[in-house]
Amino acid sequence: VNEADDILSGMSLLPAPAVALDGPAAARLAAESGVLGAISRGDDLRQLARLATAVAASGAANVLVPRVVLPALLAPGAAVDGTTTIALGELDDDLDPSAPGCRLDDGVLDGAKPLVSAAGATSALVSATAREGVVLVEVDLRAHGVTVEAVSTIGRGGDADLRFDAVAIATDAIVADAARLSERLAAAAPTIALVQAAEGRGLLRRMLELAVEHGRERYAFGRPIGSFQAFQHACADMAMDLELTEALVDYAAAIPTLVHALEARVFVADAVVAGSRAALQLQGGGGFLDEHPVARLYRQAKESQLRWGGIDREHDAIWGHWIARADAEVTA
Amino acid sequence: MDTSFTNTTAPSAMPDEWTLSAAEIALRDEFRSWLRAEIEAPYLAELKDRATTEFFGIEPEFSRRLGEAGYLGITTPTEYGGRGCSHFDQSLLQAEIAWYRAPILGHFVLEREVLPAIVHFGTPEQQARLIPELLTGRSLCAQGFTEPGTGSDLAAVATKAEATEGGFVIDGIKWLNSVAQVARYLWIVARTDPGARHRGLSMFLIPTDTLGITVEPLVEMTGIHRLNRIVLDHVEVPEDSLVGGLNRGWDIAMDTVARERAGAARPAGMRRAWIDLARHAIGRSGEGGPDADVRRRLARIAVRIEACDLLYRRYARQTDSGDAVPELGGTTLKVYGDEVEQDLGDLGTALLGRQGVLDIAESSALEGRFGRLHTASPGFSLGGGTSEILRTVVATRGLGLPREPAPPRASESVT
Repeated sequence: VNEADDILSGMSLLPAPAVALDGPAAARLAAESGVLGAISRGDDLRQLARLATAVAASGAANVLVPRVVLPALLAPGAAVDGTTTIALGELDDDLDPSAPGCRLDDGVLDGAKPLVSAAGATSALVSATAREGVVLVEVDLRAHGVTVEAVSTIGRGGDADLRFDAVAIATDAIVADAARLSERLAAAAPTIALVQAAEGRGLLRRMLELAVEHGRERYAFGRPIGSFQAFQHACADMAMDLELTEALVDYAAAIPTLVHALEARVFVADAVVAGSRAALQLQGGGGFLDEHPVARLYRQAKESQLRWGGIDREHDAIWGHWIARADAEVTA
Repeated sequence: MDTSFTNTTAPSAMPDEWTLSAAEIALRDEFRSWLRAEIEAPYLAELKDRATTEFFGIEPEFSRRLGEAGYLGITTPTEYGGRGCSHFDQSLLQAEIAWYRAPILGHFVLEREVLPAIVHFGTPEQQARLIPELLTGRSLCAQGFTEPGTGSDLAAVATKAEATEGGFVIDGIKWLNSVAQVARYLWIVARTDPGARHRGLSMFLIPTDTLGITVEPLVEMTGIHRLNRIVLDHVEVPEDSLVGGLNRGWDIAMDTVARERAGAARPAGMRRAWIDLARHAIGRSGEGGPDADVRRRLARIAVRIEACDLLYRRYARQTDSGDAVPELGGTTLKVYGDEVEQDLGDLGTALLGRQGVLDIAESSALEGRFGRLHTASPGFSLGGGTSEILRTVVATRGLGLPREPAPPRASESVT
C-alpha cells in the first residue's frame, strides 16, 4: 500500500480507500505513470504490473484490462482515455470474441453483450459476427438503439448489460477485421494475464496488511489476537502465498511470455480467493460489515479470479507448454 | 536439460534476477558434464538400494568425489581455500544435483551449516584446521540438535556441556539425526548455562570417534536407515571444540537452521518428477491425450512447482545481495516446497492407480518413485523445523505479529 500511495499520490489522484476507480481515472493513472507506452510496445511491463498492484491495493480491481489494456492493444492508435470499454464475451468468458449473439449486417448491429465494464464509458469496442467473420466495431453508447442497463456484481465495478437494436455502424467504425482481431487478441494475452495477476497481488498485499494490523491491535482474552497460533498460521499462509506471488508476477513482468503470465495468473487467482476468505475470517464480525475494507477485498477477489481469463483454458495452455518443454529438457 | 533456469545471458538492459550470466552458465554446464559422468559411475549406478542414490540419499563416496572435484562448499571465501562463488552459483549446482537425483544428504550439513559457521564464527585456528579438511568431502558432518524430549523447541535442549579444565564434558542424547553413521564430526548444541534458556546454549564440533559417543541406527518408515540416536556419555572434548564462543549457540543455531531451510528446496527435482508423471499419463491415455481433469491437475501442480523454482532463484540472489529475509522467503521455500512435494506424491500415486502402491525399484512403474515419495515425504515437513513451528516463525519474525505468551513457570503455577 505504501507503493500504491507513492504512485497514486504522486499523480494527485489518490482515491479514498474502498472507492473503486472508474475507467477514466484508471486511464489517467496509466497515462501519467507512463505505462500506456509500455503496453503498446510490450517491451517493459514491470511498471504496468506495479501500477496494477498499486491500484488494486488502493481500492479498485478489474478495471485496467477492459478500460486501458484492451482498448490500447485491440485498437492501436486510438486515444486511450478510459471512456472506451471492451465488449467481447457473451457467455462464460470475458475474452471469447466468437460473438454468436451479436451480428453486423450491412452496417447494422443487433444483439447483446453482458457484464461490460461501463462506468464512465461513452463508447465500446464490440465483437460481432459479420459476413467475413468476427470483427471488432466501435459503438457510441449514446447512439440510437443502444441500451445500457446497470447490473449489480459482487465486485461493484460498475458493470452493465449492453443491448444493440438496429444500431447504425459506419464503415470506419470497424477497428479490426477477423484476422487482425484474432492476431491482436493473441498478442494481448500475456499482458491481460499479467495485469490480472498483478491486481491480485495488490489485493493480497492489502489483505495481509489488514490482518497483521488487526492481530496487533485487537485484544481478546487479555492478549493481542495476533499472538494466538491459529491467527498466526492463517497469516503465515497468506504471507507465503504472497512471497510466491511476488516472484511469479515479477518474473512474468520482467520476461513477458504467455506461459509466464498465465502461471502467475492462475496461481494468484487461487491465492487471492483463499486469502480473502482467511482475511475476512481474521477480522471477525466487523469484517462482514459492508463498510470494512476487507469486505471490499473479499468481493473483488472473487471477481479477480473469474474475470478476464478462464482458469481451465489457462491450465490447458500451461499443460501444453510444460509438455513441449519437457521434451526439450529431457533430451538436451 | 534446462533444470528450469532461464538459459540466456542477461542483456545489459535487463535485471539479472531472472537470467544467468555467461559465467553462471559456464559453471552450471561444467558441473553438469561432471555430474552426468558421475551418476553413471559404478559406485552410484550399481548401488543395490536405489533410494540411497536419490536427492536425500547418503553416499559418502559421492560427497568425497564432489569435494575432490572442487564442487563442495563453493561459497567458501578464497582466503580460506574455497572458490568464493556466490550463493546463486551454489543454487545452480544444487538444482543439477536435484535434477539428476544425486545424493546430497551426506554432505548437506557439512556444506550448508558447518562450513559457513566455521567461516563466520570460528577462530582463526579452527578455520585453518577445519576448512581445508571439510572442503575435501572426506569428513562428513551430522547435526545434533533434536533430542528425544525437544524437537523444534531448540531452546529446551537438555544435553549438558560442563566446563572442565581445558575443555568440556558433554552428556545427553540426540535423536533423529541423519548422517551420524558415516560422519567424522557431530555438530552439536548443548547447554552450558543451566540458568538461561536461549542464552545458555553453545555449539560444538566433535569428532564422532571421541570416547563416550555411541551412534545407534533408527529405521524410518520408508524402511531405510538414515536417522540415528546418538548417546553422549561423559564425552570429554577439548576447549577448541567450542565454536563461536561460550553461550553463543542460539545465534549460531539460528543462522544454521536458516541456511538449512532454504537449502532444502528442490524444485528441479520436482520438475523432473512432474515430467515423468506427465509422460506416463500421456502414455496411458488414448489418442487425444490425458483427459481434462488429469491435464489440469498436472498443470495446477506444475504452476506450484514453478512458483517454488522462481522463489528459489530469487532467494539465492537475495542472499548474495544481502536482501534475503530467512523468516519469509527462506521459510516459505521450506514449508511450501515440502507441501508441494507431498501433494506431488499424492497426485502421482493417484494417477498411477493400482501401481501407485509399488515402492522404489527399477521394475516398478516409474521406478516406484511416487510410492516412495508418498512414504518419504512426511519427513520433509517434520525435519528442519516442523511446518507448524515454521508458520509461527513466518508470523512472528517475518510479519511481526506478537509472540504467544510464555506459560507460567512451575513455581508460578497454581497447584
